[in-house]
Amino acid sequence: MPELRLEHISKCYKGLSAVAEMEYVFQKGIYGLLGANGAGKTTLLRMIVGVLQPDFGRILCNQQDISHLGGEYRRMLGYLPQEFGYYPNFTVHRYMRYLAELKAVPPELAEERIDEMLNRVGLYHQKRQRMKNLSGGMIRRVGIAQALLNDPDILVLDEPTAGLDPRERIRFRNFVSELGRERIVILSSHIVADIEYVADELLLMRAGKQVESGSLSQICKKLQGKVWESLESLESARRLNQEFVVSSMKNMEEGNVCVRLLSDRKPVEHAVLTEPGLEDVFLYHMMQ
Amino acid sequence: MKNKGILLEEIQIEGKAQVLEQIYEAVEAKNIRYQPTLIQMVLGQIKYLSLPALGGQIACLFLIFAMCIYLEKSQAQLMIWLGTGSVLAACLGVFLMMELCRSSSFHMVELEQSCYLNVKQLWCVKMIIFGCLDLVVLTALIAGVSKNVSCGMFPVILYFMVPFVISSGLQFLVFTIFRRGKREYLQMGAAVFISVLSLVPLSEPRLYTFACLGFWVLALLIGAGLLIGEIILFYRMICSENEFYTVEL
Repeated sequence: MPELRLEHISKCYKGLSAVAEMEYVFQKGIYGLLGANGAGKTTLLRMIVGVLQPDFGRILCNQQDISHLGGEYRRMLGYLPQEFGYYPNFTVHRYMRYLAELKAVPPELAEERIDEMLNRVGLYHQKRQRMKNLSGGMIRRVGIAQALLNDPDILVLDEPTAGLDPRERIRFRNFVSELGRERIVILSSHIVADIEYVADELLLMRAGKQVESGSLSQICKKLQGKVWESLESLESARRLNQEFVVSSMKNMEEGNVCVRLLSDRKPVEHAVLTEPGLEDVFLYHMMQ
Repeated sequence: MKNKGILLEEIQIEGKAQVLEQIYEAVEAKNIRYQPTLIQMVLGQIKYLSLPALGGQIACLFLIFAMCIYLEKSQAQLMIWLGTGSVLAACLGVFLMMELCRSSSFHMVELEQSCYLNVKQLWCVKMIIFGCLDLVVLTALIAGVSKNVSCGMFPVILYFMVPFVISSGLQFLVFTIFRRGKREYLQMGAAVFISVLSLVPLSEPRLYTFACLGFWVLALLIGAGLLIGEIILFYRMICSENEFYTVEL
């Protein structure tokens, strides 16, 4: 199994730092990259797949620089870009066949792999349909299928659940959980729930920097004693919303509001401590 | 010197088993990978070329045959042969660019760049395919025209190569300078511009005489220089592995 090591990688765009001094080691498992829009997730993933070169630092795959490995590294990769392109006049099958050729899947194996992958994403019966006739969710599923065509050791999925309906998202999560047993899966999202359910390890990014990493329980543990819940009147809830970082406000019976907020100290007398979730962690770091 | 035999008891059974085990593990760890040859890549990619680009190139070939038959039957003059041939030669470069623009128009570049056969290799393969097709079409054009005109084959080669190299150079220039969205139209415009420009010498028939051959050689050298320079610039652009794959395209 490969090991992917990021060694102090940095990337700037027109003087602005997109990724700064990133350092991390990926081994077998599912890694969730979480961050707000513009946090540098896509830039980091593009550097991991070799589409962009870091300005500083290097990425090692099994102790070898990926820029030296070239095609042999790309052979190990499966990638679903955020902006997933396709030739609209290609049928699903032709599109998969085309990518199988680019990924150097042996011709005698290609058909079998295409059928297997389309079956796994539930698009086998649509394989004669043109790409332009598929729905957004279906196109995303073709994207996931193509990323797996070469049975990659490193699977990089950038916003894989964008455009998927709730049923498809659940199906996708289960599918990814299965994949993570035998390879490195790195998936990025700004939708907390997508990451929360599948990732073994989490990486939180803000302004191009890694602000937190570890398992879900480890990360949440760090926030213990900072998440509070309180039943408030509407007026008081509004005041708390202005004063603290509020992660949720739920309307209750009799006009009351259940406020969940982040604070280092007890915000109001009757507030009670509660177990932190990933959403709280995300909010906490994004608001810093 | 006496040959010293190996005694059976000298062979270390355990050590042998250990070494064999190591060899077995090394063989198991070795990945047998499929590595397509250049020919396989070229043949593989032909299937996926866009119909307008490939069809246009093939249509040019048929157009040349039709043009030769028609002009031969109508006993056309030298100027008509050269004018029609120049326009066709100037249009040839546009088909490769149509194909290269396709990847960027449909946002496929980023995905293609992450594959084993990446954008750089893929585009080189496409340039080889369209280069070979251009060669076939130009050969047919030159052979068809030079058979029917009195000036000989060498001047005909010059008269057709000049609009071809200048037009192709201009196509690459547009591709490297302009951003996605604008350049498709500009490339068409460049082909039309050179086609019209290649008709200008027809107003001065003296340019097609032996005395002006030096002018054509000079024009070809300048055009070839421009084309080579543009190809180098284009190659550097796709090798930069920077924003090109994500933002520029």
